[in-house]
Amino acid sequence: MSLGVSESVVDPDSGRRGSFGVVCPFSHRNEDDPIVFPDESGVSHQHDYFGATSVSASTRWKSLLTMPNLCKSMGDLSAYWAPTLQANLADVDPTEMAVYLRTPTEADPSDIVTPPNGLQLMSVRSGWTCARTDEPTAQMQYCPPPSTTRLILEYPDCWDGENLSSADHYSHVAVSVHGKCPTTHPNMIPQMATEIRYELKGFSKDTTYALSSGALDTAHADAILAWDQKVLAKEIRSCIKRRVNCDLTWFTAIQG
Amino acid sequence: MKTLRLLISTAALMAVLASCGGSSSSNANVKRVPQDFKTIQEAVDAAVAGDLVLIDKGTYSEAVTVETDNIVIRGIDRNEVILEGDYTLDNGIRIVGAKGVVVENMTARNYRANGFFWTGVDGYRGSYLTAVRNGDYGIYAFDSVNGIFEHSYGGGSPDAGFYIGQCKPCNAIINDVIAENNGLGYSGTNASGNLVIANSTFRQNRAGIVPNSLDSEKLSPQEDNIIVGNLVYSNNNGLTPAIGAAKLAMGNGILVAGGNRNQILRNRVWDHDITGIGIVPNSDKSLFWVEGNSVQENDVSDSRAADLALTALDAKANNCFSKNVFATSKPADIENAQPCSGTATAPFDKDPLPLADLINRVKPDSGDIKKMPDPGPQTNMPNAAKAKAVPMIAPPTPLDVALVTLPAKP
Repeated sequence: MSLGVSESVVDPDSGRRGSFGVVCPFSHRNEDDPIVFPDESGVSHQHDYFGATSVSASTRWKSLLTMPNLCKSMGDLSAYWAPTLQANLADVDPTEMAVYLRTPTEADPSDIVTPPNGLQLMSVRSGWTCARTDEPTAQMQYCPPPSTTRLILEYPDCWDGENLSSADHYSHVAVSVHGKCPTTHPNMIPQMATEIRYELKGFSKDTTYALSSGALDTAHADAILAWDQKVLAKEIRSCIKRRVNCDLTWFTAIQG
Repeated sequence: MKTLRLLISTAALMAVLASCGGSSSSNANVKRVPQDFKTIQEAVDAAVAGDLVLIDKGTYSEAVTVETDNIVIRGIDRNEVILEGDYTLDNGIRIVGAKGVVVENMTARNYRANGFFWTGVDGYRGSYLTAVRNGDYGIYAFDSVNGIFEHSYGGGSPDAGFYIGQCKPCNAIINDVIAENNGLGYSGTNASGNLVIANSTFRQNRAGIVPNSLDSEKLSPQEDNIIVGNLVYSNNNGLTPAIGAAKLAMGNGILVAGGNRNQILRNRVWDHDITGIGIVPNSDKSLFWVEGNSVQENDVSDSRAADLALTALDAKANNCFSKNVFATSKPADIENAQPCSGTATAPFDKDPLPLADLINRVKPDSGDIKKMPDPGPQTNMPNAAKAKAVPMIAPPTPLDVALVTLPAKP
């Protein structure tokens, strides 16, 4: 798993690069992973789930369409999950995950298609930051409350057009280079970036932090997309193709 | 006779045309809802620049997106044309990158995000709008310039009733509005340059008027607002829904949080648990100090910590206080320590009102948005049925600040 720090996690021109967003509160945790260990309960490291409220090893995308979902947008019924952050070996409850969908760097927004329901995405880059507009760092940043400690993750933005998943969980998708998708994965989809927010009350920079998946550099997150496709297509048309930042307030979190 | 018969049949034909979707020449630019179009969205999608979408009385469960320049969307009755979000829909009316769009004379309530929201636009106006119990902001312009919010009401939102964010120069006017029962009455993150907030009422929010600088939006720091002739009172309301920033700012009337060169003139400010008018740094990833703010000719009373307060890096920051009516200040004798003209005759106190005082107080948790009250009937725009539709095609006419006087207590 490639988990280097992205130089493009922070949008250099978020005011004019089309994007929209959803905030998905923390829902629950278990030791399942419906992508890596489908139908095998309790065999994964521990995961925190956001949005869909009862995701387990047996969850499939079609079941997400009827599963209650905490995401604060009527269109997003996806499941998102990530390893649990631990502080001095104790689990830390995240507050929420902000999900950004935006034009990939240097890309022409008219190239972007609507991603299909059921598409499985695993993050390819990660970084830590205190403020959304700061450059994330590979080292975890402890941000004293009321600041929010944020783990930012980026996902592939090119799709092969056929497969919702693949044996290695990555090869059905790819990452664009200078705004272009490779010929093997010619369909550009909005770049998804997620930001997991933690309020580290009662801890400090001297606390020992880790993830349930291991050291902090194992940070990653997974998603199974499930949207009201009509709403998703409309947001892509209205916001991304028109180069408008539609919902910034949802992912600024003014110390909230 | 023959001629008369022809005239009659022509009139009948015109009547038929008029009843078929507003296609007669005299009504070509009016799209009526629900007479011509069942939904507001359908009418908006059919409209072209210069058109008026005229909405009849009724409750509309819609989240409308506008992508067409220079159209006017108007309700026939502000209090009886209601966009209902039912806590499931996102925005009442969202204007996405379309220039000059005007929305007037209607109510948006119970949306998960915003009541009325312009983003990425040049030219906007919201007039005679009522926004209540919306999950982020009531009436909101982001990354947008050349706009007006006027004769409007924003209440019961956890963030701000009115918000203008990320613009420089904003070229915007907020005039004759009421904000109550919000986390913040007005919030303006990184909203700078020719932005005037005048002749309005901010009451019973957690905090009243809060221009602020944050790293989370572009174009920081916040600068150059004029806040003039407002009534700002009793902003200590712990029952409102509230984001974290609103909890932090609670108990302050006008609070400049990390902004520069703002002019705060002739406001009447009273009954606040912390400060009436406070000028303080704001700490995000960056620490935003305060410079060049000017507080003059205000009447400030009944503040529990200080009527006037300043926390600045040093005296050279040129924040100044003159000709105010007030009883208490931090530092004490603030008009002699930091006068707007002449030489200081009292010492500068760097940290008279420690930020910890603002932050560390126990503040009530967010209240239930669904319990926030309706405002009751609000003033309608004159002649909504027939008034000419005027899109916002030019920058707002400047408001003559010199003519705005200190308002009397209600």
